[in-house]
Amino acid sequence: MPQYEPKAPYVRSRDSAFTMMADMIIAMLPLYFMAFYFYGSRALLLGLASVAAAVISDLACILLEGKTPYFRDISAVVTGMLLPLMMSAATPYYVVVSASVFAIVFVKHVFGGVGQCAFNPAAAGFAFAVSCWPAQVFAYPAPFSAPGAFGSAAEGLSSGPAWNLFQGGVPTNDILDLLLGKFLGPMGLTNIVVLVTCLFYLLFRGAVSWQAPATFFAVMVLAVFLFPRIPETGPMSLVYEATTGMWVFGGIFLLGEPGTLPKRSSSRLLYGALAALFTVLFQRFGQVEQTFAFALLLTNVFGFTLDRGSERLLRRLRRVYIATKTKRSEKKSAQRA
Amino acid sequence: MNSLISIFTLLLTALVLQNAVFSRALDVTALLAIPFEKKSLRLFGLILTGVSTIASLLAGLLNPLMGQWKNVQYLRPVLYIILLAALYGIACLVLDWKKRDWLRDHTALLIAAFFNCAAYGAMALTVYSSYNWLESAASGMGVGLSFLLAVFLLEQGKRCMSICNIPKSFRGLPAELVYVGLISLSLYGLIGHQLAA
Amino acid sequence: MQPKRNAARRNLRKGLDLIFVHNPVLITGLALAPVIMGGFTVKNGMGLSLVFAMVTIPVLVLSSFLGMLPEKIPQYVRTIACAVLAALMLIPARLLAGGIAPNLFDSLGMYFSMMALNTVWLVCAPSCQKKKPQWALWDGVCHSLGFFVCTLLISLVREFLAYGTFWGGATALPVKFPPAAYAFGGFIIVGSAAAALRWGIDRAQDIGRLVRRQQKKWRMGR
Repeated sequence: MPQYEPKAPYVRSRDSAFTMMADMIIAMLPLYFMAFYFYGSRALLLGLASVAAAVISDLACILLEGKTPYFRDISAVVTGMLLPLMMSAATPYYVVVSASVFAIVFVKHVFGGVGQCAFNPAAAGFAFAVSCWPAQVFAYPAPFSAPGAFGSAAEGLSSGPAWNLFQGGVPTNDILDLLLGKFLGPMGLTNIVVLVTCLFYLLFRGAVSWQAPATFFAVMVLAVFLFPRIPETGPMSLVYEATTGMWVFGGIFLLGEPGTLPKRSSSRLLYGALAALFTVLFQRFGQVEQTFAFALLLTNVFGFTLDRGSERLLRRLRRVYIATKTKRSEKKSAQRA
Repeated sequence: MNSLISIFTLLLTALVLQNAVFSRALDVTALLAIPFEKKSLRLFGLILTGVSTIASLLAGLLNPLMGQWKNVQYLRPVLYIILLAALYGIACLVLDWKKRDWLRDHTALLIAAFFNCAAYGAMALTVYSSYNWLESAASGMGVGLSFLLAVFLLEQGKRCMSICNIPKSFRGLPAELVYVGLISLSLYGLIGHQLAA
Repeated sequence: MQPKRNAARRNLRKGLDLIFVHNPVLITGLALAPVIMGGFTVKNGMGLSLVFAMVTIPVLVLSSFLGMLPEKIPQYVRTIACAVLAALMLIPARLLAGGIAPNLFDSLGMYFSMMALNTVWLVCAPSCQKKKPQWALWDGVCHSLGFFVCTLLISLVREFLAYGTFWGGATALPVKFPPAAYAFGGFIIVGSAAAALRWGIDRAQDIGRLVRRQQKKWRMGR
């Protein structure tokens, strides 16, 4: 489904919703590869279960609404693939499945389906899973420990460096391990090098607009650098926060979701900054280890307002600009006369 | 100074962490179901803020007097509601004397603002949290202001939902309930689920 | 005689509609707060319904009697009388609620007493002033039934999802969803229940229309 009506010259645009979603999926494949490398086949199976649940519930909702299913719409697959990446590799299957069913049914289809979501489905699904089973979502297996592919894998789990940061302590992990992603953490978002590569791929392909991530990362980096929440220097705080936090992954994959993102570029800049502000506040005062998803849900409320506000502001500025321009030209003509 | 800081914290807590609508579901009916116009919903919020401030101030003053009775917790709600009714009566008497036309136009709004679970909730919270009179007034004001905040957030949501293609059975109240639920979920990241009462 | 009987039938019908078609909570959206925050176990739901009935029925009947008073008495005096009666009805309600579960009053907290200020009587009392006492009583009973049905169903679902129990007894639910008992779970479940009820009513009306059309065709054919 193209996101805009085809216009007069009828040139086929490259950026349909399908190509954007396909780019997202391609960008997620290296993350799944890393997860497979660290945690074995369970990581892939979690992804499969989540995608299957998302696609089936999406289809069920579409049929219930009496619409015809449209097979080039793969947004459910994207939502399904995003969810397990944010959770531990030893998460039970029911957690992942119910999170993606919640995301699709109560967040995507209640507000009208693809491209019309009031909230980001993947973030809401993750938030739901955290509110239901925080112990399961935030208990991580050690890298290369290969949790059993089927059944529960609840042995040998512990909390990661993100928990240390949440408690106000300094993680004891090696810096190189942190940068390579070899530490206790969510299965898909520990390796910051791969994540940054994904960001550049998505920006280059135009699947994600640059404005929202730009201000988001700028404000986040500044906040983490200047006001560290742990007794450490700025650069070290930045390394710890960026490698262990969900906000890097979220800023790349969740923030730019086209359904919830404002439509004007000026409001996108503000939107990114607002998301960063909420994330920092939630990190400081929140009761949960990874707060980005919650902060993003709150930011989503303001997306439409920012669009309207920036529209009004720009209109007023344009009026002032035109008024001064006409005044100047009148002056000039008066001088000439 | 200390008491000022504590009152400011109380206000902020009531506004965000223990928001009357999102974490206590007080007064959802006025927010979603009663067909107020946009302006009168704001007016309603303002009146509610005044009522809850005064009512919880009175509750804070009354609480120490009632402390000695036996079985006081069963009589307290009755007393609170009678207090609200008395406040309503005084307001109506004054309005009837000064501004009769305004009173006639806004009868439903006034009833909804005075006999209101948010105002009652603000009074009840003064007992659960054992506030003194100043803190009680501040928390009551916080309840009213947090309702105004919810009105603001829901206006954004309504605008957003007006352009969404919401399924027929979800249109209106159900979608708005789910919307408020999801905002409440986002605030869960801030508070967890521990709440007094 | 005929118009009188018709009016009675209309009133009866209007009252019965309150149970499903114009359900006070799910369709009209009144008295949502206690259902969302308090109705997360069946016992709580029963307690809420009990207080609702104990408060709403007498207040509506009283407001019907107040409607007979001369018009000189201002409207707000009648509202205050209703509110005082609602507050006083909390005392017998509290005594009866002990019969459902001894700790009901404490587990519902302030939402128990909040039922005295439920929006149903606040909204319906003015219209009940024009009704005869028996029809005000019928209105109150039907409102209470509608509230009872929806609160019972919602609290049943919420207790089952959140604790995996039914009236305190264990069931065989393998996975529990604790947020069903939290505020946001309440919002989402009540919203979905409202949507489900609307969907059901729409389907029922569709079927009714179809049946009527078939009947008409059949009659015409005969």
